[in-house]
Amino acid sequence: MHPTHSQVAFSASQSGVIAGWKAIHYRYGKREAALDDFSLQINRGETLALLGPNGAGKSTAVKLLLGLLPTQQGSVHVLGHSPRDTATRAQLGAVLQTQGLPAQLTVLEQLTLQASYYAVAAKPAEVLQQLNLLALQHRRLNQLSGGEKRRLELAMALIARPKLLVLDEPTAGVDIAERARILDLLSALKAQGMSILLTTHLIDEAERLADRVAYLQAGKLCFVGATSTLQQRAGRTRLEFISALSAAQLDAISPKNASISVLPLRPGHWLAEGPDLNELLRGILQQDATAKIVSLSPLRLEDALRTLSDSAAAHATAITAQGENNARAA
Amino acid sequence: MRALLEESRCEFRKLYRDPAFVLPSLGFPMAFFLLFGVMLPYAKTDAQRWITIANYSAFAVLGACLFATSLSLARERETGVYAHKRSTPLSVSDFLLAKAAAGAGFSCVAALALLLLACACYGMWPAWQNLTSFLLVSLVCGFCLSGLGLWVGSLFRSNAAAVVVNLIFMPMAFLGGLALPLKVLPVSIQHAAHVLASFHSGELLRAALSPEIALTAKTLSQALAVLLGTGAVFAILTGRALARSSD
Repeated sequence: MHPTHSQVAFSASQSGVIAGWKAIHYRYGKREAALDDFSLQINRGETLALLGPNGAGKSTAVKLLLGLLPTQQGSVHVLGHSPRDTATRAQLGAVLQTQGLPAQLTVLEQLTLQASYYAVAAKPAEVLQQLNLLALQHRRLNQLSGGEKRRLELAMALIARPKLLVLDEPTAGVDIAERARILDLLSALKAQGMSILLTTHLIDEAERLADRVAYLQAGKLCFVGATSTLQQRAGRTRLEFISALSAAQLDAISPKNASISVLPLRPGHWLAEGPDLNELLRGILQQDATAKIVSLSPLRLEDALRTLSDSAAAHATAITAQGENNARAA
Repeated sequence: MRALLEESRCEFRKLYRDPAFVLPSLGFPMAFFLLFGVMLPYAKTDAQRWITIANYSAFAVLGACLFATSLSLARERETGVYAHKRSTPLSVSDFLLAKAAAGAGFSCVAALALLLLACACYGMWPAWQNLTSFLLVSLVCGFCLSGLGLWVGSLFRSNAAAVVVNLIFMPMAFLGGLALPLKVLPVSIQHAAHVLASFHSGELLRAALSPEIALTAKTLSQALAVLLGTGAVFAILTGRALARSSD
């Protein structure tokens, strides 16, 4: 017997996973894949930050989760159901990256309209109070600043007390004071146990809010893990250098058991990362007098993520080179 | 139902609070009426005057609903409002119905404004039952013609939609006998006019206003069939276009 609609919902709610993508491949027309074998889950009550450079596929992932795009391959679920179901959409609150607001309506009218979409919704005045917008309730939307508009969009997302809040770059285009206000609000929502998916390219936002971080690059998921794991990585040092030494020679001079990684960026150009790189550096300079240091700096979270993306790129280059060599040998 | 009512109310607010839409929608038909109906008067008798008023009212209804729905939908697709609404439980059909309802409501306002101006210029006033029929017909015609506006809005960005609507609006008004009497046009055009919703809008509004014109059941059913058919066909095309788009 197939499980009923409510049984599926029940099992999903028991599992602690609130939403997720499974083996998603998504392509816009004939362009490169926007998402390539993308699988990720959002746990109940957690804040997951989806990080990555522009064009990495973050917004596509969000649109799929909100049911704004149909899946091409793979599946997406929210609370055990398809996000394209009306009942599922009633459990979601979303702030999109480019979410226009009609200039002719007032703040209160817009929020009342948003509340009318849901069977159960909070009173607009309560949410306006929570978002510190009560004084602006009769102001037309074209008279609001960028930050005030962003707070109103948050108010719209929160009006139906959603089970999952999806925020696509919620602080994009707002000033520093307004950004701090929005981050404070999100911290408060997180403290209340709300499940949040946050996409951003601002690492400090992820550091401050997220329990877990997922890093996307060119549609591929390069890293998923606790923010603390990434922060531990960030306590290391990063050395970029140019040397004629081979990978085997560099491996030989790397101190053993020091968890140092050395990766080729391009021929003769290397990237080393580890807690202490002094011994490696001495070894390189002793064996290769022509070696040049490009940069030596402590890793921040941002650098840790960049290292991840560099490794992904280097890995892809290595695989391509190996494929070419094999083809030549054949 | 609550969502549909609130959405329709907000759509109507958005229209009447937008001077860039209100001024041309009300002003152009009035300007044309003042130029061709008052300064170069063709209508001499009361019956001819009612026909003139009905024709310009149909012109006002056509323009108001086409521009209201097409530009509003095109703009909301462009700015992300439509995408946001799709992330909520509001259904696409309610979203489109609300736009059509607001377009129809504003068509009614545009027709009434023209009627008031024309009555002031000609010094005549319709009977209450004629006025009621006139408003009702304006509402129905506006609602059905909104389907065409929504279809344009679902295909084009706002700048292009404005141009495309102009390309549709003027020929529809001309070929539907709203600018010139049909009998001065070639016979083939006179026949072709019967498939145009603009022609039937004119027919219904003329019958609603003029005490001397009575529609037969056949003419009435033909007019309603063309208007409702136009609305339904373009509503389906709009739904398909929106389902294909990635906005």
